[in-house]
Amino acid sequence: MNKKEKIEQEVEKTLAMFDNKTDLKPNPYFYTRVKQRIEEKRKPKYSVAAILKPAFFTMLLVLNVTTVVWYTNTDSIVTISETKTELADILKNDFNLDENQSQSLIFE
Amino acid sequence: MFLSEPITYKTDFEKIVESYQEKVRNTCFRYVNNSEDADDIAQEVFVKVYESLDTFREEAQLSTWIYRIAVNKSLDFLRSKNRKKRFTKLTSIFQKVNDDEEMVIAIPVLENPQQVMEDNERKEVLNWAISKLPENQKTAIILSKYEGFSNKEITEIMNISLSAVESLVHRAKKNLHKQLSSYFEKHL
Repeated sequence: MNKKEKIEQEVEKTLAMFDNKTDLKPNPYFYTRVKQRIEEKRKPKYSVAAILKPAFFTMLLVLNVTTVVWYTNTDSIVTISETKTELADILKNDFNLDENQSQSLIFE
Repeated sequence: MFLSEPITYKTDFEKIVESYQEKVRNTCFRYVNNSEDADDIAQEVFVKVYESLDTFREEAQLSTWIYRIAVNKSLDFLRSKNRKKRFTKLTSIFQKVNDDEEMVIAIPVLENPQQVMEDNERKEVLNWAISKLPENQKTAIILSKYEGFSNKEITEIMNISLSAVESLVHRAKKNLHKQLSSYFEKHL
């Protein structure tokens, strides 16, 4: 038998192992382990991230609301004082009042 | 092999595991050649079955659906393993199958020990050659030659046409022959 024939013979013998397969031994605890995995997946997982995430977003929301409220209040003060100044100017021009007279009418 | 009664509730789940666990475990084993990994994957298969039972629409046979999950989980495992392997030194072509005696079923006393040893070595070589196949060919040959599914059953599991299955099995056999010839040319 030459080498080529010998190789072919070995290849055929190896392929024949499909008919001589080795199966796993039965595992009597298999179902128990499956059930355990299912139970583990059902348990809620409390991680640090799970607690910190909502806390972070709540803090962000509070900060935003506070900023808006503060900004709005600051604006209205400026607006009121700007409006009063404009009014003082209008009164001064319309009624020929001097600076002190017009301002005393508005800023008292 | 197939459950004829419809799935009524999750209380059927234990019956499903009982009916299919050996076949699923062995199918997974053909991919990974390691009993612990095979059991691990098989358990994940049934967890997935449990989680998805409510949405199983019975468009396919229950068995087809379960084996499809088993094939996908096994391939996912191999892909993940290959990713890790790229960063580690390859020390051996063969898996540590020899040391794992628990995977071997009881051998009849009358058998020639020399023959048994040769057969075990050949099985390792065959498993190695199968591991070299592309995923689709690997799946087709495992389901066909190891698990004994018909080509029609394989079309349902792999969700491909009959001609595609036949082509994959043919190419897989051809590639196995090529790998084994190359191996024996070096080692004889």
